[in-house]
Amino acid sequence: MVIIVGFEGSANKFGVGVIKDGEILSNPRDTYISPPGTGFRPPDAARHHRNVALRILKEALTEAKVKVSEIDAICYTKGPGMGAPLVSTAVVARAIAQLWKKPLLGVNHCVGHIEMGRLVTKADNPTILYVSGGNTQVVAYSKQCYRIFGETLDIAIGSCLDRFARVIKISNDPSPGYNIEQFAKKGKKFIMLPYVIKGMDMSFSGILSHVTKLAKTKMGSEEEMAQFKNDLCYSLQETLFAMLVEVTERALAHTGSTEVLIVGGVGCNIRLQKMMEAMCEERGARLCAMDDRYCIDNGAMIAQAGLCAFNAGVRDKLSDCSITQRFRTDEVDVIWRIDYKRIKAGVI
Amino acid sequence: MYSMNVEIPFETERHAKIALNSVIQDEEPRAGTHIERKISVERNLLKVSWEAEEARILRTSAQSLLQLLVLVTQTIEQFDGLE
Repeated sequence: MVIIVGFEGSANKFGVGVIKDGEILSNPRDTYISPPGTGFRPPDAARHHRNVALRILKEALTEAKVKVSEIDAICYTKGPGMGAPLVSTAVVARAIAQLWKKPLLGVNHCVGHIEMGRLVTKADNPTILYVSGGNTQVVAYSKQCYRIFGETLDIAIGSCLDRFARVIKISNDPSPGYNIEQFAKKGKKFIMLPYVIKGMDMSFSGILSHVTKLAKTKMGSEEEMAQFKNDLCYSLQETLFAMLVEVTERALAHTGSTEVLIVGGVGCNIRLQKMMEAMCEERGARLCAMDDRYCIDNGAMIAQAGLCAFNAGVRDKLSDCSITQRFRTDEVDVIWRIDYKRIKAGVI
Repeated sequence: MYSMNVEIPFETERHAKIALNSVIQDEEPRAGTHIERKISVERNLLKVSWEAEEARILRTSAQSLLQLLVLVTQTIEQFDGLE
């Protein structure tokens, strides 16, 4: 029996999760929400993390009903993410690991999302779409590595949605993306927007500039403006998600896998899930999607990826437990997954 | 050149070392300007010294470190000896 405590705080959410052999015992989280029309600044998010960290940790331990002596290791997000929030989170994890004399493991945030997705949906070897405020990647596993098949060339899709929400001044509570989704449901007219795919990669910044310009130059009555807002949200979602589905479909055709897993905060979007589902159905694949508890950044995902590494014998020295703002998904040695095909073929 | 020295007393040497090993891993990257931070433990004292070309850079570095040390202190107070 292995019990891991995971700390996540790479952006505006702080979470602590406790995992026991793949069973989620607790997973509380607190989100820093900035006022409408503004994004969150890294120093503010870091201050939020420092203020809530110890309360969330207590909640996680109480709910999980584990004793300190039963815990095997502490894990934290090493990166990628914003510097200040990452450091604030890592400092608590390092102090706790020392106080309780537990090993400390740094976890790649993206790998955390992927392993959590595999745990919750029971997907064995999925093609993964990882979409959030900081990342947009299409990933599949091959030979001890989560390989990136396609990714954004500029800003993340969530960043594009968040910043558009700021332009049209809609609330950041519970999240800008959720509110855009609600406006989009009332959209009637599709407005043509740029559609930018280059090979397997995507670009969102030009689309953002385009919709921003449309939103800022439109004139009309209050009623017309309200409907125009809905139409823009609808058109933006349709365009962006079509791009994601196209790249995922091509990756799926290439890998020949029979599962698509959507992870990351934007993965909560029901419209995205529906579009992906339609594509999967046509290809005879299964869509593995999750709700906001596990899609959005949380502590349990860091604990789960840490558990995989811990069980495979990975141990970090405390002096190596730094943070890094840049840490690509394909830099991680995924030694806990086996290359079944090669074993069968007798290659290894 | 600006410099600053701080000594923070902890209850025990163990606590001071825990604080040291919670913050020492992250060096702040400063492009273009010189800043040096040294942290050490002597008995129950955590000693930090800074040297920087610009006062502003020294202030931000010191401020962020002190904020993190407050967090470590709270963590120690609330979670040391927990069973």
